Amino acid sequence: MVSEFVKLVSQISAPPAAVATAAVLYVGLAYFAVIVLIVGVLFKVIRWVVTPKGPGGLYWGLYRLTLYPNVHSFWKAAGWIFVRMFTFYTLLKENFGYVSAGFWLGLILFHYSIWATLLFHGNTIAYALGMYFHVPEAVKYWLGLGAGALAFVCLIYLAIRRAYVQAKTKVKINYFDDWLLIFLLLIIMGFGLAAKITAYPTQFTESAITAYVLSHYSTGPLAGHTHLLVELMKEYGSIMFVLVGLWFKALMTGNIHLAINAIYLLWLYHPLELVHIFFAEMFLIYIPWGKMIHMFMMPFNPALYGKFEPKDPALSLAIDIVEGRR
Amino acid sequence: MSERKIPPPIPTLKKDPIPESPKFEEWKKWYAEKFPESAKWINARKLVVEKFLYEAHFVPGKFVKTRDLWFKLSPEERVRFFVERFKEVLKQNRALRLYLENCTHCGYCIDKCHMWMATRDYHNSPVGRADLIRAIFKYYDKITGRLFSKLVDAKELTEQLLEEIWIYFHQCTECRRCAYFCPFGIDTAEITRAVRQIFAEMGMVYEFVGNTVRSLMNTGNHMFLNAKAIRAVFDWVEQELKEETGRDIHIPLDRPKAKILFLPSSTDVFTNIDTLKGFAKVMYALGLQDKYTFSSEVFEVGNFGLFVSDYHLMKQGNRIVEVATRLGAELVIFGECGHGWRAFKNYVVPELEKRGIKAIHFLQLVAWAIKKGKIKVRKLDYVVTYHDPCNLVRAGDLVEEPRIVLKAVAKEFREREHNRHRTLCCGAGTGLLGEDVMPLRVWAGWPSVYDAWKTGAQILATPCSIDKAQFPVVIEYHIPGQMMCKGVSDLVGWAIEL
Repeated sequence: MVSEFVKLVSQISAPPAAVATAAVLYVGLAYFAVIVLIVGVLFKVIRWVVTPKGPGGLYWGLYRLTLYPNVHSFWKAAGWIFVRMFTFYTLLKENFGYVSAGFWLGLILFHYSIWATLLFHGNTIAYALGMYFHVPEAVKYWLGLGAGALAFVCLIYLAIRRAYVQAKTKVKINYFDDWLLIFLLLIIMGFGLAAKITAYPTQFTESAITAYVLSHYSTGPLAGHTHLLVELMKEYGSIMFVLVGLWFKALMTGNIHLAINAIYLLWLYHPLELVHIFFAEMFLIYIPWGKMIHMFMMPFNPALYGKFEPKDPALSLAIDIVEGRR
Repeated sequence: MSERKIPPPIPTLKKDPIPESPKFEEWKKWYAEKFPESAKWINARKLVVEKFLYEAHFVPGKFVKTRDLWFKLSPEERVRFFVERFKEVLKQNRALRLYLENCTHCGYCIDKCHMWMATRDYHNSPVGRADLIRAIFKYYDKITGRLFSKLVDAKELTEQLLEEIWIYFHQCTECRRCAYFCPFGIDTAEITRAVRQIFAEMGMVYEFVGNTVRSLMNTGNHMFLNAKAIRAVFDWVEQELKEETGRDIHIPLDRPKAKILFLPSSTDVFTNIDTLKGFAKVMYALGLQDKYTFSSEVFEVGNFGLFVSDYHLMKQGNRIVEVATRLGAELVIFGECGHGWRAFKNYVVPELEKRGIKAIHFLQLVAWAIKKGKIKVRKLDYVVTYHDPCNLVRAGDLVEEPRIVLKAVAKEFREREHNRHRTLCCGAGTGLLGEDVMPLRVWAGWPSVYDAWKTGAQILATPCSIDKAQFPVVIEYHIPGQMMCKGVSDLVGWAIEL
């Protein structure tokens, strides 16, 4: 079934303008974005690691910057880092009768739904690698849509909070690059959600899927392949998913022709997805160079990973002196 | 003590804090009229290297090996120096780079900062303060900073900006409360320390700190004390102890070959005599009178080097190590000091360990002695609360021991709302103890005093000399006569039964 679809996609002859655009924006740029992301993040992380603590191997004269008491092993320090990374618990600490519960909830839902969405995207890559994990199309639709919508709503809430905090405290915390990042994320999420909504039928019955295929793919290169498309949608949820999977696979195997054709079909049938992909590429390029790098930061924060020497030996010595054993 | 009255309100952050904020501008105006010479208190605080500071090793080029700038720099030279040195420091200082690169501007730290609560000043919040440096970081370290400087708030360093950096980075008390609350643990205090280091290398320090460091470098203590002066006070305290207890409690100074070297705060022979008495009584009760000594060479737990430069911090730290080693001490006991404990715990202790010498905080020893019944204490007729000094709880691994002690000696111990990690700074950390910064001090210290006052306690106990210098001033201004500030060891001295 899939091989038949791949054959079909490979045989399509896209117009030269579409080939050129796809080659630049969705092949060249895609490779470039991934390379910049990997190299950039590695560069940043390696630079953090190789930058000395300070003169003489100390942090301006201090052996450590440990923030927490009772941290006497690196495992315990790692525990604090882990807890901070996954619970954001310091946001729930009270300060003059105020707990930022809304901020915490917005932030944790935002991050967790982002991770969930990325995990679901992982199935596209898994498909490209031939390791597709079958999920019923209704589950796939509502779970993906739910996680994405939650992230989108939380992002809007967090953006409003930013403006509110600035107005309330009169401390300027928002600059152009902050808003640019938020705008970028909104675009990516917004178009991703819109593409998803339009790529699925309203119901997941065979007749509804067939009706969707007949109406949505009634023109262009995929017209007339109703049975194949219906079968693919029953298995994978949407043709958009299959096309994006093929694009991934083609990029990974170096089959540029297939990648361009997949993009061409997305342009014809699911153009919103192309906007989503383009801005996602931009975002990948941006990650290492702006504040998005924060996601890699915590394990390298000396305030969190340091440890103290145990207290007991010094106290034991003091006791020995008091009790006349020394 | 006078009757408890309702003090001026601290802004309730739950509501809109702005209309209820302390009227800092009005206060400043009043202060300027009362003390005309200090009207420009912010600008008056700068101290460019002068001849007498030469003694305090504030000589540009002396600890920046690559330069020989000597004495005063012109404003243009300062800008140039700062930029060049900042670029170097970015390559040499992991924490600085990490913290400048990773703030997401969530703004969560703003209302956690006592300085912002006190002043409501744009740059007097952790993120606002750090952004002064982040602006030049973006300009000098990032291509986009130069190309789109206005869009990303990247700024080329100017004399005016350097002046702002000077002002605001000398109003951060390095309490690290922001680091605890920050979701990533970004430690603005570390940015402050880096900036102050560069200023110190230019020969620019805050006057009060500069004078104190001068004393530290010359005498080994913050108060220009020599052995004769210390001995004179000790003799007098010994007489008082004899009258109080009927015991011959000797306070040893410069005793050779003592097993224990005891480090007090130099203020313990001035304003905090009760703290010194507490030390002496406990050491006597534990039978350590003949085994320990104070040293006139290092009669100081404090280390203002922490607020100035690694050079000064390590110089004083090394002096302690040298004296302890020369003495043949097996154990060093640390008295009451907050910032000093950070420098001691995180520099001196590892250095002592290398030489086989152990170190302990006095309150660790007292907590053990009370728990094991090695000393007997009675319950004092006071309700006591405890202020966690920032550097003990957020940099020094010392949280529960003072509580054990206070619960044993107080009629009732009441925990403050903002305790342990969430403790509020006294408002005078990093040596903001000068008269010239009084407006800042009384408001910056108010959140913490208010927190203590709310418990209904009669005594605010704290094992920190800066707290003991700062809180009485804040109490006197906001709630005169309604609460006392004492050291934890003071209370032990009052409660101990010999």
